[in-house]
Amino acid sequence: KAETVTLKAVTAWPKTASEYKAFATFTELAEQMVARKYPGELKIQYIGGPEAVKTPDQVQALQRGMVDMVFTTTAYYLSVLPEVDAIKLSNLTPSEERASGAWAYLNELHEKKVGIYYLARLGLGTKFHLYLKKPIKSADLKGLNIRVSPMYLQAIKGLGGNPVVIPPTEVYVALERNVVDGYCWPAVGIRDWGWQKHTKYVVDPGFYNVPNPLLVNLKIWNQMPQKLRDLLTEAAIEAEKRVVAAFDELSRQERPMLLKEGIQVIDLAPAEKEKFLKVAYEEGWKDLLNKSPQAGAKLKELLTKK
Amino acid sequence: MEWWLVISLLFGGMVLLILTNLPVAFAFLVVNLVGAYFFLGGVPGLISTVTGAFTSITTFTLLPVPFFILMGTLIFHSGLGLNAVNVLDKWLGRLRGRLSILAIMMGVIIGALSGSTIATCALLGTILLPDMLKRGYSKNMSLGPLMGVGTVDALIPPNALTVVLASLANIDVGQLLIAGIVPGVIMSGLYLLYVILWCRLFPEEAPVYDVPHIPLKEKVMATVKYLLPLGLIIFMVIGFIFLGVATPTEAAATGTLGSFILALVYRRLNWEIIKKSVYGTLKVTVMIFMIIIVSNTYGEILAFTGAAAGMTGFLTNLNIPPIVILIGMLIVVLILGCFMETVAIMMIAIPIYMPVIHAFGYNTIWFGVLMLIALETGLITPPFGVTLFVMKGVAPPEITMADIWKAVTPYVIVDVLCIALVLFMPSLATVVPGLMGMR
Amino acid sequence: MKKFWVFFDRVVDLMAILAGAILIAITAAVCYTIGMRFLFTKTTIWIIPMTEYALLWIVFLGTTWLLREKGHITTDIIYTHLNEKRKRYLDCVMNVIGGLTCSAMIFFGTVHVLECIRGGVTDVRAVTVPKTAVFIIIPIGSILLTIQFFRMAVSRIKEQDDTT
Ligand code: NA
Ligand code: NA
Repeated sequence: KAETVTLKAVTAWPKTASEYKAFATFTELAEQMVARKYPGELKIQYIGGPEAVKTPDQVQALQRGMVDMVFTTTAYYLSVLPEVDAIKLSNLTPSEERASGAWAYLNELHEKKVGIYYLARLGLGTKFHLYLKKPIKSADLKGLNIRVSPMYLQAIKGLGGNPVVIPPTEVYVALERNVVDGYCWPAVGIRDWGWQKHTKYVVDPGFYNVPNPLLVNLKIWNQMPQKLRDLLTEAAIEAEKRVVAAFDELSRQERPMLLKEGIQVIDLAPAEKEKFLKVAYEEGWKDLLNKSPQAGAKLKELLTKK
Repeated sequence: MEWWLVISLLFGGMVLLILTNLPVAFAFLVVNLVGAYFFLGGVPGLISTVTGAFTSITTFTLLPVPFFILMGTLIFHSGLGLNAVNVLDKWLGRLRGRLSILAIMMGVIIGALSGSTIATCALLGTILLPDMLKRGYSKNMSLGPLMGVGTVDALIPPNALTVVLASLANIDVGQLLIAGIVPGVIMSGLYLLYVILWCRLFPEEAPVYDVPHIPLKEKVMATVKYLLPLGLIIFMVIGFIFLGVATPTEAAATGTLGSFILALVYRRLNWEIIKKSVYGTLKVTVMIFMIIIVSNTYGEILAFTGAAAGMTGFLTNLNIPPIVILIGMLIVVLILGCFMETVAIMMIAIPIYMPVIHAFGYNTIWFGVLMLIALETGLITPPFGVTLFVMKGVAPPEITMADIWKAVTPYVIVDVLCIALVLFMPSLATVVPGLMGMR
Repeated sequence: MKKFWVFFDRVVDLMAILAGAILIAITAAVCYTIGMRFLFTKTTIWIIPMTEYALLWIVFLGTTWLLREKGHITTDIIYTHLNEKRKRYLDCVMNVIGGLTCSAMIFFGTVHVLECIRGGVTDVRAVTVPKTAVFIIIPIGSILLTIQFFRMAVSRIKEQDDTT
């Protein structure tokens, strides 16, 4: 008779957020596999989102063993492991990251520095976009106030924009009243906040990645029987593929919706596009290399498509 | 552990402790630490309760609280507020309960400028309460309207909580913001009606004092001299938001600057007044923030144990008609509102409620407005209501918590009445978005 | 002992003054950012995170002062109906409980500070700062709170001695 292993899980987003679907994809897969192979031996108990443990505190709660599993985004734990900032700069899919050795190296960093097992990157196949009220013709944001999060602060600065720090809850009014001229956000999700009403342009190309890791407390992970670890890894690898596909599809469906709302696409000229991406990625890597030169260099190599 | 047992333990423990005259914030703290030890897994949970204080307070969205309070204390201590009240008083003439009426009117106006219910309440409390008590108003007629208008504030845009609710529930933000206008106006109308009727029935509660006849010229002069300049402060809040100078949160700071400037212009700004205003602001801010810190953790423990979800889940899964379940949902929010902080309730209830609302095919804007009123009622329901604590903070020491609970009760009833009105006349919530061509 | 309390009160007062100064400073700072952004499209990026941290400092700098001035909210419905002796007894017990709770805050706050120092934990906003630099005010504030609670408990006992 086997004991039931129960993993207490929290997510950085409430159940209603679209990011939660990525987590649900994983748990459904894992549950099916458990039922098929080792019925009753593993249970993932969903505790809740930010209402149960505050989003910025979740990874530290995981380190301390208050919870066993966390689904979050890298931005929320740069405080304890700045190196994970590199994942947003990856131009590989999660599956390719496993093949390139990036996953293994990232896991090593997680295990050694924070005592966490880096189970998967259920990181949506979506990119960030720049959304504007005023048109631009080139990769130059001079004279524009752009609402930023620390994630793309350096990129916006590098492109000449003036970064403005306000919480997402204020963006609607700030846009409406022209306090800011634009903001960055993933390809999907601006309609959740109602910002499409005061957005006129979406700029192509998209840049960076939405990096959402699924983490497990290392001690708990090591205590689990090997067969359950294999099962979770299998579920993780499969979920990574499905999530990328599902969110790719969502991004594709989003564009026509934005056009229907009257938002125009600013498709920068090829040379400007190249410059835009070059600046965004160079600033991103520069920031990371400043914070952790050694690991940063290695990650840059592992996460960049040759 | 069963959800009802967890709730009884946490709620019971809290009630027991706050009755001992231990400050509310510390009573919560005791319950939190004991609760964290047993429900959040021992020492890791205890560390989390301390780190939670850092995360819950260091947020931009709380900035307007000290700013609006400083604005209020400055207007109050410099005498600018009293002047303005006197001017409006001149215009209102010999009207029974005029200060209560004035409070509600000013509440609506300031509510339309401010996105922080707490701040609105603190501002009006500091300006009007001392005058009301001086004029011999009963506690019921003085404390009551000042707390009541707090709930109106949330329904009249702009409001930060509305935006939070809309984003959590996936409701259109713009629509939900303007959908609150009609119910907000109705609610203040009901407050006015109540005040006027009550003054008729119990004239001694709002003594009419003789107002000497004032010539029109003097009224106009007083208005120009004392009331219109206050428009500078209003301009530095709403005008700056409208002109795109500042976001609603930031505008609280420019509004404070405005009150500094005005006090300076009226030659009322001296060291003593600044000191009084700053200490007054510190007193209320520290008190409110301590309560926000501990109530945040308290809500997290309820959420973490699954107790809050258990209770909501239990009530929504009963086999009864949708409208009854909807009413049940709102009642749950009202009950949670008695002992929890607004955002925490939203975070617990919304994920469970929204699938049900979609399943029933209800209009989400309508539901959003209902939720908003119910959530805001929580601010004034005893024993735990932030507005109540704000009022206790700004009131003179002889006002007890029991006085405050008693005074606020009629306004809780009006709020519930307002929920019922919107519940049975959904068009009250949907008419404005409809007119704007949004539906 | 008397000297110690004079010193303690001086510290508590100074902390409250510092909290007030911070309040004025963040008001000015936010107005400054707004002005610079509106007039010159320029943002001093560290100002907003600093105002957020300031809120925490204001609370823990001011809380002991507020406790001493009896400014924290209490619910006195039952308390007011007790006789003087019972009031004193209850106050004494509750102040001890308050003191113990705050000493727990010191302990677990310090544990977290050590965690942060050991792990090099930062706080990442528009600027990145060591978390300890901001967080440290929680254990510091809690130390003063603890002392004040025990001081109030002892002074209640003394009152009892005086009357009997
Ligand atoms: Na409002
Ligand atoms: Na309440």
